[in-house]
Amino acid sequence: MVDPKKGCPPRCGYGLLGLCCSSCLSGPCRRSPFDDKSGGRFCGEDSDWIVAHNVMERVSRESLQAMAALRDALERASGLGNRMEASRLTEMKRLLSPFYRGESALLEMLYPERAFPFLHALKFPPGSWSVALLDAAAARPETHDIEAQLESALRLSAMTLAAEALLGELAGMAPEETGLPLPETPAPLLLLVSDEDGLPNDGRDAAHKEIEAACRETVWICKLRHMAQLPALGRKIYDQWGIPASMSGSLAVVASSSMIHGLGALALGFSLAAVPAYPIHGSPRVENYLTHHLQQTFGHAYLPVQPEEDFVEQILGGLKR
Amino acid sequence: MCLSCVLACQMKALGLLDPRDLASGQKPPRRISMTLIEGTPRTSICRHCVQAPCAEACISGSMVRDEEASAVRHNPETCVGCGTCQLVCPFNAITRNDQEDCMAKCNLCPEDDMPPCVIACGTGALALGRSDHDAQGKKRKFAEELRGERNHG
Repeated sequence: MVDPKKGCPPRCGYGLLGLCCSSCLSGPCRRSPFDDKSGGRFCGEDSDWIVAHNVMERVSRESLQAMAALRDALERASGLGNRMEASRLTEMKRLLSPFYRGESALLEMLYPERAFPFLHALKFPPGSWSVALLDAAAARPETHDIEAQLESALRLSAMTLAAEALLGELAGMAPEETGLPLPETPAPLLLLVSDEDGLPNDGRDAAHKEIEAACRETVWICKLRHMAQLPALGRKIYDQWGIPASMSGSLAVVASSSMIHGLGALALGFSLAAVPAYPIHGSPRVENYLTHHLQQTFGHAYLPVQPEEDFVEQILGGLKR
Repeated sequence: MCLSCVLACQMKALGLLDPRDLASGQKPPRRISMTLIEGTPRTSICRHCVQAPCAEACISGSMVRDEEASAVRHNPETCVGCGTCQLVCPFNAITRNDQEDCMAKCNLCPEDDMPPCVIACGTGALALGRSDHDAQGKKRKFAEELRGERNHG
C-alpha cells in the first residue's frame, strides 16, 4: 500500500489491519478484511484470533526484551558496592522468577488497587512477571477467548511499565519522582509521551508540537520523557485528587514504536491515542473491546486514530468523551 | 503471492487510501483475485481480449472494446446485471457487484496514471501495457538477435 502524497515506503495493507499471520510454517497467511467468519487456509482461525494473536506476539516479544533489561540491571546492582537494600533487590528478582505465584509486595506498592482499579479488575497482580508471560504463552494456542488474550496483553504491558519504573530506581531515581505538576482540582490531562529514549524523531516531535499548540488553551498538558513515569503519575493523581486516572478523563498520546507502552497506559487507566495506530482494525471484536467495551465499563478507551482525518481534532474529541 | 494487488483494488473500489479507514460491513466488488494452481500464483483478472467474448455477449452494450487504450471497458451505469458476460468469460474475471446490482470487472483504472494494483505490487509481477506489449517486445528482441547473428556471420 503506497500513499504517493505521504511519500512513505510501501506497507502491507493486511499488516496494517493485523490480518497477516505468521504463527506457523504453513503460512504466512493473509485474511481479507471482507471475508465472512470462515477459517483461514490451514488452521481455520478467524480474523479475530489472528489480530489478537498478533497483538500477543508483539507484547510477548517486547516483554522479553524488557525482562532482559531488568535482569541485566539487577545483576549489576547485585554486585559489590551496591547501596540498595537486599530485601528490595530480592523482591525485584522475584518478579523475574518463573515459579513464583505469590503476591508481589513490589507490584502492590507500584500499583495500589485504589489508584488502579481497572488493572486490578484484570486479576492483577498474578504473581511474577515471568509467570504471567509463561501462562499467557501456554494458553494462547488453544484459547479462542479473544478478550482473555487482550487482558493478558494489558497485564503484561502494565508489568513492563512497572519494570521500567524499577529500572529508573536502580539507576538512582526515587520511585515517587515524576517532576510533573498537576492542577489543584481534577481535570482531564493530555499526556504527550516521547518514549524513544532520547532518540530524535522529527515526525513525532512535529506531531507533539502541533497538538500542544492546538490544545494549550483548553487542556492541561503533561509532557513525559518516558512511559516509566506513568505509574508514578497515576499514583500522584490519586494522592492529589482522590480519584483514579481512569475517572479523570485523561488521554495519553504515545508516539512510540512499542505497542507495550501504549497498552500499558491503557492498563493503568489512561485513554490512549497511539502514533502510529495499532494494527487491530482487521478485527471488529478486538477493536470493540479496546474502544467501546473499555469506555462503557471503565470510562477510558483506546482512540483509533483515522489516518486521513485531522489528528488534533480526534485528540480533542477523545478528551471530551 | 502477497495479495497486495487484491487489497489495493478493493480499496480503490471503496475510495479509500488506507485500509484502516474501512468501515465494518463494506463489501467491494471483486475485480482481481489470486489463486494457487499447482503451486503457481494465477490471477483472475480481465485480460482485455482483442476479441472479447463478454463484449459480444453483452445485451446492453455495457462491455465495449476500446482499441485506442487496448482495453475492454465496462459501463456500470448501463449494465443490467444479467450475468451473460460472466458466463462466457474464459478467465473468471467478471463478478457481480451486489451493492449496485450490476457486473464488475477490471477497467484498467483510466482515471489514474497507474492502477493501484500495479503500484501495490512489490515485485513488479504486475505491469501495465498494451495487450500485445509482450509480443512486440519478443519481436524486437528476436530482430536484434538476428541482426547480431548476421553481423557476426
